[in-house]
Amino acid sequence: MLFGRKPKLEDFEAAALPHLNDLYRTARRVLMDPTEAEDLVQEAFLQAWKSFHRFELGTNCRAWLFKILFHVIQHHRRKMARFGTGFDDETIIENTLAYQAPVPEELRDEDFIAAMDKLPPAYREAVLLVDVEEFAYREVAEMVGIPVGTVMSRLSRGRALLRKELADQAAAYGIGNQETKEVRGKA
Amino acid sequence: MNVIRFENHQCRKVLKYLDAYIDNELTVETTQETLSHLETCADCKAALDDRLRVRAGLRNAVRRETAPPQLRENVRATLRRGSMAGRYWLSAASVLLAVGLIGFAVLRPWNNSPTIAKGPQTVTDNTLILTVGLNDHVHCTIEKDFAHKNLSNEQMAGLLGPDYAGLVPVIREKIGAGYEIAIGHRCKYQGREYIHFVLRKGDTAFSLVLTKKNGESFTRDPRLIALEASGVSLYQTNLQKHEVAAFETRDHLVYIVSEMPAAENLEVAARLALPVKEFIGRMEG
Repeated sequence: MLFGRKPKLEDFEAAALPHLNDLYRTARRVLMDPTEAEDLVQEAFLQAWKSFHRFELGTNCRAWLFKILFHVIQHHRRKMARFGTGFDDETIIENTLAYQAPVPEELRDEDFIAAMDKLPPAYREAVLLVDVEEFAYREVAEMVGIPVGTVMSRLSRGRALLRKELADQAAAYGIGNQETKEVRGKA
Repeated sequence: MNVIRFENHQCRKVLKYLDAYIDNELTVETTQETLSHLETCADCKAALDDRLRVRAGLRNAVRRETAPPQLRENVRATLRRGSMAGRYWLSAASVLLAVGLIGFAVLRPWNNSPTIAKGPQTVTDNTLILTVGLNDHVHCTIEKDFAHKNLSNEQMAGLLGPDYAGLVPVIREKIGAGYEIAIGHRCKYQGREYIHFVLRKGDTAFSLVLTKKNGESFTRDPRLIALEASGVSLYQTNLQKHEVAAFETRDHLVYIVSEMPAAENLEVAARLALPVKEFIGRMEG
């Protein structure tokens, strides 16, 4: 137990609430719905408080909260029965990744967000948790409930799709085609 | 148009590792191999830079989004209620909730101080600062099992980078007879970067961990100060069956973490504290 006695709500809030922004922005991008994200973040905090007596000092409070958040999100998806991994088009993705276009230098925040939102959900989760929230592969594997190897492959493909999407967006705006180097090869 | 073709076998191999490389998830040997190749191959270096740029851009963009202002109070209200209210109930009752929370703040049935930690200012916070070093030791020394490595000074210099490579001879000179450096490298855990030395005496492995401060500073607490000498205050406590000793400089936190007896852990920390502090002091200017 964290404090060696019956946990206090004040202690829980002091440990958990500083991570509210991190949890919300992740839920927001994973679920693509701000209202749903708010609801599930609240649910995650409630679940975390109920099991706070099992939380131990020296373990990572932020990773523990993210694990609970993903448990809540997965439960919600099962309830809604509308979550697709996007893996049906695996072959299309493989073909897409065979060609790597250059990523332009000048990109805006909204370009990154738009490209991120287009990723298949499972890839988006992996990229968010590693690239934005800076969790280790092993931590992501535990949070999402998948093997480390799957984290690595989702991350690698997610990042490659992201680079392609950014390059496509830029090409559509007419940015970066002439001066940026063309990179060929399967990265 | 400049076309780069990654046809070289070594390039293909390195490109396959690049994602794990930027996440610091490769073994020491593969990291070294990748690093050596990147130093000589402009194409792979360009591919690496591309990935780093996209990662940095994405991180900045997503992190700009913050939680709606009312969410924090909604969470706190949910915690006090002990159950989730439906979304529709919440929107209908949001005004009532806000009023209720104001009343709650004034008439709290238990008279406690404000609940959100403002910074590392209490004894508990000192403990949390000590936990920062423990986390890296557990994550890197124990889970990655680096204790059996035996890297040369040159190998460690490559992994540590020019700023911290000079710590290797300092540690070798001061650590004392019977102690060895298994590895010195950079690692990352929970988004925090560390300079990490795995040290060894016989079968016992322990860590010297440095990390840049992120707003932390020890609160002076005589109960946790195990030793004070030459202007260095060494804090030590037992956390999760580990002895964690630490001191701070202007910009760094420095730890010795082990499962050795408290006296031995403190002895090693005391031997290294001053020379390491002086080294960091020169760097911090």
